[in-house]
Amino acid sequence: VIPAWLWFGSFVHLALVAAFICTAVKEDEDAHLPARGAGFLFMIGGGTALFCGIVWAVQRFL
Amino acid sequence: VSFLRAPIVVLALAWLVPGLGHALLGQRWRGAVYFVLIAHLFAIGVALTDGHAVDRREHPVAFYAQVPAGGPTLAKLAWDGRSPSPAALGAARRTALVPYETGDAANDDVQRRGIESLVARLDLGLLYTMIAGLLNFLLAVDAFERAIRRGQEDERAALAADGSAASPGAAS
Repeated sequence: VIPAWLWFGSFVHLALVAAFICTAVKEDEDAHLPARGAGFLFMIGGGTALFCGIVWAVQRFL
Repeated sequence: VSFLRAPIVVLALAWLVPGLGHALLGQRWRGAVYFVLIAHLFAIGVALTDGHAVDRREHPVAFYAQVPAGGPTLAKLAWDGRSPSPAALGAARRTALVPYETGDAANDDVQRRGIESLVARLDLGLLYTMIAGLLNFLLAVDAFERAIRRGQEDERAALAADGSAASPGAAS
């Protein structure tokens, strides 16, 4: 089993890179890139947390 | 030089070298950043698994997600091909994840722990290399689309220049 810090670190790392690239292909203006990338990163984090929460709730209550 | 900006050429070169497509279209900084991002993801995946992440026989499905990484995948396969005995190397790599007893308890224990560690890191390494491949696919398609747009803009500019040259008074 990989250590929790490695799992979490790799998740954040991959999410950062993916958010940057996915934003960069849609955004021509370099100045807007950080803010939009951060927004997309927040969506990835929020979506993953929501998904994990649903899985946890299904396991816990059903 | 215009040949290098043809959309299909940009697509092929962007696949082969991550970021090169954007660099050819004049976006050098973006191209350099893309190269670093894709190459370092792929390198981390390969390093985490001692090279086991990229192998068509061991992980045939993952391999098809790694192929879009282009150059890094080809470099890894070429590196594997440098072995003096590819057949022996292939056999060793196919069985590397299967423990075998040597009779030496200490050696077997070290080997078993090494395999357990590798198996634990394998999923992560596969994830890194597959994401590198899929993100490079996205970048190559983006470069292709930008090359088409650039060609259309150039055509429009050329037509406008022809029009203004044919009727100089119309511009004023």
